[in-house]
Amino acid sequence: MRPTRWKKSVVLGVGAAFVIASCGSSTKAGSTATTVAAGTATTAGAGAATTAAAASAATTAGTSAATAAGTTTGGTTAGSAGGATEGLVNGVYKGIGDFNIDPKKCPADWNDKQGITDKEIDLFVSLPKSGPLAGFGLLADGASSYFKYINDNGGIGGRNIVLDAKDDAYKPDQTKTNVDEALGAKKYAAFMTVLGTANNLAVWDTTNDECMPHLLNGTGAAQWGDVKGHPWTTGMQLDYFTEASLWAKWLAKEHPEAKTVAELTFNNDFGKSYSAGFKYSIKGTGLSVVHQELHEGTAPNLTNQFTTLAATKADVVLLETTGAFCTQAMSEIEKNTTWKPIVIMSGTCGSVAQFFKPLVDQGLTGANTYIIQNFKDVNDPANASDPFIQLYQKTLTAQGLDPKQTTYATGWIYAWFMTEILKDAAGYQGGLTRGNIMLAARSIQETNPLLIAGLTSKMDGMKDAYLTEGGRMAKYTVTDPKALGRFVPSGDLINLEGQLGTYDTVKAAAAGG
Amino acid sequence: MALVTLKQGTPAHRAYVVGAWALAAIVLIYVIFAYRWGFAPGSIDKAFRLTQINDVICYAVAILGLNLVIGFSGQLSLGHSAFVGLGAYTTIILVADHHWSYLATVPVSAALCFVIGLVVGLPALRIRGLYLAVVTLSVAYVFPTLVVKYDSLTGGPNGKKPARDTGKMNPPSWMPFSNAGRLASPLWVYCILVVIATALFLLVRNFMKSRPGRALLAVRDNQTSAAVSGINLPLYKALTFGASAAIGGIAGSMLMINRPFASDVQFGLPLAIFLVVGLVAGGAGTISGAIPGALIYVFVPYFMSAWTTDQRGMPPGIKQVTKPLFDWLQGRQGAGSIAGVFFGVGLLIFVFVLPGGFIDGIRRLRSKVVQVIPNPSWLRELHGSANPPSTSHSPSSGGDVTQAAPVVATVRSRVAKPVSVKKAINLRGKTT
Repeated sequence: MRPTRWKKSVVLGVGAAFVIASCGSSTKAGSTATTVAAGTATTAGAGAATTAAAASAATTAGTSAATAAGTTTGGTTAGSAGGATEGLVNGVYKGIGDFNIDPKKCPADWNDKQGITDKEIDLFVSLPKSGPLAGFGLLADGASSYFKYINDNGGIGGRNIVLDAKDDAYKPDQTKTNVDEALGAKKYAAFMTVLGTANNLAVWDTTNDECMPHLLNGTGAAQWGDVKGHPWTTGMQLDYFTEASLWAKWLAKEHPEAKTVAELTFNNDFGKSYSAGFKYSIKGTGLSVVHQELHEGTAPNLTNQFTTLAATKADVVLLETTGAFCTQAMSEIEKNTTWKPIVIMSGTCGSVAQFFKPLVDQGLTGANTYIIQNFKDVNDPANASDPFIQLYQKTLTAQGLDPKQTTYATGWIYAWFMTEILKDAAGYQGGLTRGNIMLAARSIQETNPLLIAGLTSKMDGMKDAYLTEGGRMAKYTVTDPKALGRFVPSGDLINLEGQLGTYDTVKAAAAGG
Repeated sequence: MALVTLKQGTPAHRAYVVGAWALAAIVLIYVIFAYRWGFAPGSIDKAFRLTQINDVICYAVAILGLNLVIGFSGQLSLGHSAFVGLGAYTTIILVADHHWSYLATVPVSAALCFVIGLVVGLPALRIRGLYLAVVTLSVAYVFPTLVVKYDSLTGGPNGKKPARDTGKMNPPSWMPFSNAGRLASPLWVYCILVVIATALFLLVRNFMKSRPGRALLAVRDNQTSAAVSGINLPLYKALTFGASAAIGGIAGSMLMINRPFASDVQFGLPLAIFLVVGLVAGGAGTISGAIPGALIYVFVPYFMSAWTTDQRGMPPGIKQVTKPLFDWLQGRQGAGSIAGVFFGVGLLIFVFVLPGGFIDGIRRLRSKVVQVIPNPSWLRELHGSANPPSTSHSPSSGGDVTQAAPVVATVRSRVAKPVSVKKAINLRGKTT
């Protein structure tokens, strides 16, 4: 019969194909003993990482006078002038701080001038433009707004900066799809400000294998300082580990009477990063962590956790969590009549409208909660005379965008760093190439004009892989209990520039703690 | 009236069937050589597009599995994303943590998902329709939460992937594309996936023609009549759930072979819903419907989203019409979401224009060109017993065609009969 023979041959064929396939696939699955860390680590739940991006810029209530950086000329680095020592020398890119790139380690078809022509520099970003976090899509529009301003004023040596943004709805698998497509398109010089910790972790192996500059990640995870394992990836924000270190320094200086500390920690990489940073920094001080309560992302409320925490009668409570948990935690503390600790909260919960407004609706205030801030609030009247903020407001208004939308300002911060990187790279030996862009990204010396005056943003090759490592404590101050309050600076600036070094420090601290 | 009429079993019909299969095979094989031959419609010679095509194959298998439950056994299951996710995580955990080879994990995924599918199918024994839909939906809802909960195993919200430098599928050196550079890996994955998918499609196709397959259809069409006919309803329902989940699990493993990265959001409710959407758009109850369904699932949102930011790739014609709209959208908050709105509107139109799905539309279109007159083998044998044996098995002589008319009438009555019989049973079942 015809069908039987046909079936047999198909079955045989399929069987043979399976055997061949399983023998032939060489997945090298055995050689994973020495893996790059952090690939499978966990971080904050959705939104945690990204809120930091906007929150830090959205809510900083700085009162300081402006830095002089009215325009974007920036300071010149040691090497950005003519005759720079950095750049392509004898076939190797040599940067500062022992940071070198050997292009021979890149794929054979790696093109140093990809995405860079005499007229244009093409950049790529993947970030949410749809879904619950679609609001962060404005970050790309903000960055494009700054690039448009730069392009209208001559660009980078006559080249226009063009930023292509793709929507990933904050889904890491979609980010990976977008990044794979962008890598395959072979038209981008660099990626910038990919948003979200999980999203960046999903793609950073690929970008590093492809030698694609993957710069200024839009998340505060400490992993972006892994200059050894992932030299092509850099961060921008104050990382959670350092933020907790700033808490410790501030407590030691401003509240020497405080001895015992209780922690509420989100049970993931994000929360534990804070915890590790704090424990690392209190060594040798009089502070000690007396209790740590973990909570899951699925926790319906924090009542049980705070019953236990209140029983410790600790002097200080650290809220190492994010999202709605911040509001819940502040509410639990405020409702407790006997325990009045110093409350320090994650900077990711700095948005007054988002996290403090619900408290007002409950008849609470959230007053006297401390958070770390490091960027200026463009909407704060105290900053109205800042020349860079004036430029920001003027430019956005001229472009038909609303300058009050602080996510645009965050976009400006990232775009400012990117522009400085491109300018520096153009001054290196060999001119504006992707290798030089990566060198420049690891040698940033300029201070962002939107940083609170006195803070710095510096990178130093293999020695310092974190850009912003300082901040100032601010206290949420309420005058009318029925209305929203504002953050008022409390204590001096704390700048730990260069002290964290690389991700190795964090790994060692986490392992030791 | 159709332009061409073909009688089943004639050489012309056989050529038609073989020709169609050959065409499909040529298309499948052509993808492998497109990069060499210079002609690559839809830029299928690009690694990224190949990865997308591989995605289509994976989702087609997932929809095929879902079809078994919804399309063939008539039980509304919305929890399939969980099985696809379970298969995917099984593969990625075994590969990343235990250094298995990808293909070795496929049977494990299938077995695990089969068992879990049986368990999830248990409520289906007692409840039906919308209630079952809600129960299965809860499975889809819970799965991402479990992934986050057991993050030491699954990587939690950060997702799971094999260690760097591992987990890439490289073709053996004897494959013709082994030196195709960046295309080598996706092409090799494509070959593997095509083989797995073809095997599964043939398996399901043959299953549906078998005795249990017919039993399944009977369960779908009328449970009471099926039970009266001696079909063990609980057994078939549970087994269908199990088999469907197993195929879903394989689809998940295939997704990981293609793109070795799993995250909780990837296998959440949107996937559960879109698998059903793909099923309906392709054609519920049709095996081949899974392919257009998967094409729609992968490519429609992709292009919609791409055009909201860049309209250069849009087909001319549509571009001119929609340009003001897209221009207006550009730079607006949530402009990306509009892709979803277009997708929804497109689906609405689709359901009105092609209520039976894509395959049904194609079939209706085809019936205007080619009409196949049924002449199944049993009838040929029946008919042949009165004829010389030489024509019974291969009715190739011209005389056979002239005799077709009365035979067709018989066939039609035979084909139509089971329906009326079922109705009769149905009536009886209701009254007793």
